Amino acid sequence: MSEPIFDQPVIDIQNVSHSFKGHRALQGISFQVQPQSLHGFVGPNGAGKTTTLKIICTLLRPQSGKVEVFGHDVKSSVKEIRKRIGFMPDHFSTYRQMTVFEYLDFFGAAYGLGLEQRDQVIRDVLTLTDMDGRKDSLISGLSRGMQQRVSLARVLVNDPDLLLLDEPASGLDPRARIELMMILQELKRMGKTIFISSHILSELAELCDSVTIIDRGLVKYSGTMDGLLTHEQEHPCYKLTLESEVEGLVESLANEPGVINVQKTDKARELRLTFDATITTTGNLLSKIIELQGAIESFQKDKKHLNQAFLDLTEQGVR
Amino acid sequence: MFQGTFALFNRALSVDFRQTRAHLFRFLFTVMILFCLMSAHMASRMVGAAGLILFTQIIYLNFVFILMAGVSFFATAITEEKEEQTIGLLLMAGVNPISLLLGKSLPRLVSALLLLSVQFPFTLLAITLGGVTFSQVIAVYSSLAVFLFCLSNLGLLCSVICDRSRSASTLVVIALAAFFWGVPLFDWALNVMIQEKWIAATTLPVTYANLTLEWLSQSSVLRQINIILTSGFSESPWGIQFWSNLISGMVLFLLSCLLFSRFALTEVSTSPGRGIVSKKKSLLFSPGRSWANALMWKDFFFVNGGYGMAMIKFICFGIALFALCSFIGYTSRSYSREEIGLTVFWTMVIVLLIEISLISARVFHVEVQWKTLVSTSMLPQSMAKTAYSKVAGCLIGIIPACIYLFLGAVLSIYEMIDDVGMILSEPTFWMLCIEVLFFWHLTALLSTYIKWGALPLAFILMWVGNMFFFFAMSLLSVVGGAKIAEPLSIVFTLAMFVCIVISHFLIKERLIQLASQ
Repeated sequence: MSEPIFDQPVIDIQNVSHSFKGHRALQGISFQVQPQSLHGFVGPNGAGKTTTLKIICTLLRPQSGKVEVFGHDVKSSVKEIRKRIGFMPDHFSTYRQMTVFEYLDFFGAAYGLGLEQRDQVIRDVLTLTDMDGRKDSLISGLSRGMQQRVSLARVLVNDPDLLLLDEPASGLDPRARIELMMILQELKRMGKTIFISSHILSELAELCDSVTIIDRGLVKYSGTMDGLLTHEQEHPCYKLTLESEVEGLVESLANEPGVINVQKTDKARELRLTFDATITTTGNLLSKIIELQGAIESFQKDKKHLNQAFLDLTEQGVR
Repeated sequence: MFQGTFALFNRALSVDFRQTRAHLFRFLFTVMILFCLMSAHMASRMVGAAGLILFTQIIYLNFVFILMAGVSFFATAITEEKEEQTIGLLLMAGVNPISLLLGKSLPRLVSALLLLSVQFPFTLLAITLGGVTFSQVIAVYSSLAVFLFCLSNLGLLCSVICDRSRSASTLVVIALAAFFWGVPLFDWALNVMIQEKWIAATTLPVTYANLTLEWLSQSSVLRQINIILTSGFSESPWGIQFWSNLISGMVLFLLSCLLFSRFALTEVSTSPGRGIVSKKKSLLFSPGRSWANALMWKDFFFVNGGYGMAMIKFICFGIALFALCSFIGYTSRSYSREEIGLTVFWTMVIVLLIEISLISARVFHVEVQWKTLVSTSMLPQSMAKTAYSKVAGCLIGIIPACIYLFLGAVLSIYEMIDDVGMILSEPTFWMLCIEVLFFWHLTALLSTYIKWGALPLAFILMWVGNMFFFFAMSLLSVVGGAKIAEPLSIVFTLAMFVCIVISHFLIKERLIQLASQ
C-alpha cells in the first residue's frame, strides 16, 4: 500500500455515528485535522470526545460513517495506523510498579526497537519531557503531573506522526498544565500533528491552530480558532462607539433588515450590533448610521470571550 | 448508634436485589437441589432411605457453597471498601467501626442464611421420602448455620487485616485448610511420633496437644454432619461444634472490631507492588532490559516475580519434596527410587494444577484491575498476540515445578513407560485433561468479567457441570447399557474441546471490549 500524500488531512472524519446501549454518543459528526497542526477537540463532559478519540485511535470501530487516519481506514488498517499514532488516554494507563526507564524500555521493545535504538529514544523523550533525573524512579511514587509526563513520554517512544491526547491537563496543577502545554508546543514545532481533547476551551486557546467543538454527539463548530473567536461566518458582532448620543438610533437600527440584535453596553455611547451577514453588510449599516446623524468614533469587530463562544455553541444541562 | 449499620444493610440488600448475577446464583442453587432430588428419586429404585440420600446431597452442597462464600463473599466485606478507598468517607459520615463491620458483614450473612432457610421445604420432602428425622434436619441446619456464622466472621477478620480482597481470600483458604486438613495431619503426625517413641504420650505438652486436637476435631462441622447423618442419631443439636463455632464467631468479630483501627484505616496503595523484583541492577532480582517479546518479559517479572521468585520456588519445592520423601521413607518399610519419583511427580502435578489455576485467574485480571489494557492494546499487534504473549510470560513461572516434575518422571521412568500406554488409551484420561484445560480457560474468561472470585466461581461451575454430566451418564447407562458410557465421554471431551477453542475468541473479544471502555 502506498503512503498517503502529505498535504491531505491527517484525520478525516465523515458522518460518523456511534451508539452505546441505545445512547447516541455520536450523531453523524464530520471534521478534518490538517498535518502539523495542533487541533483542539472541545466539548462538555459526555459530549462524545473520548468516543471520537477511541474511534480515531482504532480502539473502537465506528458503527457508521468513515474515518481515515493518514489516508488509512480505521476499520481495515489498524496496524498501519497504530504504528504512526500515539494515544494517551484520560486516565493513567501506566504500569505503576515499574520505574520510568523500565516502562519506556518495555514500550520501546514492544514497538520492535533494538537495544541501542531504545537507549537513544528513551534519552530523547526523557529530555523532551524534562524527566532525565527521574528515570530510575518508580512511576507510583511520582506526582500526577510527572505521571502525565511519563504517559506522554511513552506515547513518543515510537516517534508517532500523530498524537492523540485525551484531556491531558485534567487534574494537573496550574504549573504542571503550563509545562505540559510548553511540551506540546515543542512537539508541534518538531512537526507532529497533535489532536488534544479538553472540556475547557480557554485552556487550548493560546495553543491550538484549529478547534472542533462537540456537544451531545454533534459538531457545533470546526475551523480556525480565530474564526471561532470572531464568529464571523454567519452572525458577526461589531462594537459601535459614537461621538455623542443619537436619539432613536437603537430602534432604527433594530428595524433594519438583517440586524439581529442592537444593545447598549455598559460604556456610554457604545452599542453592540449583531447582524446576519447573508442579508446585510457593514457598509449598509454604516450608511444607515450616518443617515441617522450618528457621528462614528469607532466601529470594530467584537471579539467575544472564549467562554461565551463556548456557551453559545453548547447547550445547558447535565449530560 | 446503628443508623449506619441499617443504612449499609439497606444499601447492600438493594444492590443484591438489582444484581442479575445474585439471582443467577440462586437459580443455580435451585437447579442443584432439583438435581439432587432427581438423583435421589433414581436411587430410591435401587436402595431404601431415598430421603437420606437427598438430604445428604443437599447438606454437602450447602457445605461446599458455604466454603466458597467464605473464601469470596465474606472475605471481601471490608477489603472492597479499602480498594475503593471509601472507609474514610464512611467514618466521616458518622458510621462508627462496629456499625461499619456489622453493616458490611450482616447483609452477607443474612443473604447466606436466607439461602439456607429457603431449602426447608425440600428437606421436609426428604423426611417424607424416608431415612431422615426432623431432629436430624434441625441439628444439621443448626450446625451449618453456626459454621456459616463462624466463617463469615473469619472472612471479616481476614478482610480487616488484609489490604486486598485477593490476600483476604488467600488467608481464609489457608485458615480453612489448616483447620480441615491441618488438624488431622497434625494428629496423625503426633501419633506417628508417639508410636516411633520420639516423644512420650504422657508428657504434659502432648496431653494438652491431644486434648486441643480432640476439641478442634469435635468443633469440625464435617465431623458433626457425619455424626448427625448416621441413623439413630439422638444427641442434642447443641453440641460442642455448635457452641465452639458460635463462640469462635463472636471472638473473631470482637477481634475484627479491635483490629479495625490498627489495620483498616491504613491507606491502601492504589498501585501494584513490585514484590521481590528489585530496582537495583542485581542479576537475580532485577528485571534488567526488556526482551524482544516485551509483554512476555513484563508478565514474567511484574506478574510472576521474575528470576528471583522462580529461584525461591525452586528452593521451596525442593525443601518440601525432600521433607515429604524423607518422612515417607522413614515411616515406610521400603521406599524405592521409583516410589520417590512417583511421589515427586504427582506432588508436582498437583502444584502445577494450582499454579496454572492461579495464573489463569490473574493473567488478564491484572490488566483490567490496573486499567492498563488501553496502552497495551494500542501496540501495533493483534489482541490475540498480546494475550498469548502474556500467557507465555506467566507460564515461564512454572518452570521450577516442571523441573521437579521431569525429575520425578526420570526417577520413575520404568513405571512411567509401563503406565503411559495404558493411560493414553483411556478416554477418561483425555476427558480429565480437557476438563482441566477448560477449567483454566473458564477461569481466565470469568476473571475479565468479575472483580474477584473467578477461580472459585469457575470451580463451582465445573463441579456443577460434572455433576450433571455424571448424572446424565448414569441415566443414559440405565437406558442404553454400560456400552454407552465410553462414546458419551468421547462426545463430552470433544464438546469441551470446542468450548476451549470458542473461549479463545471470547477472551480476545472481551479484552478488545475492555480496552475500548
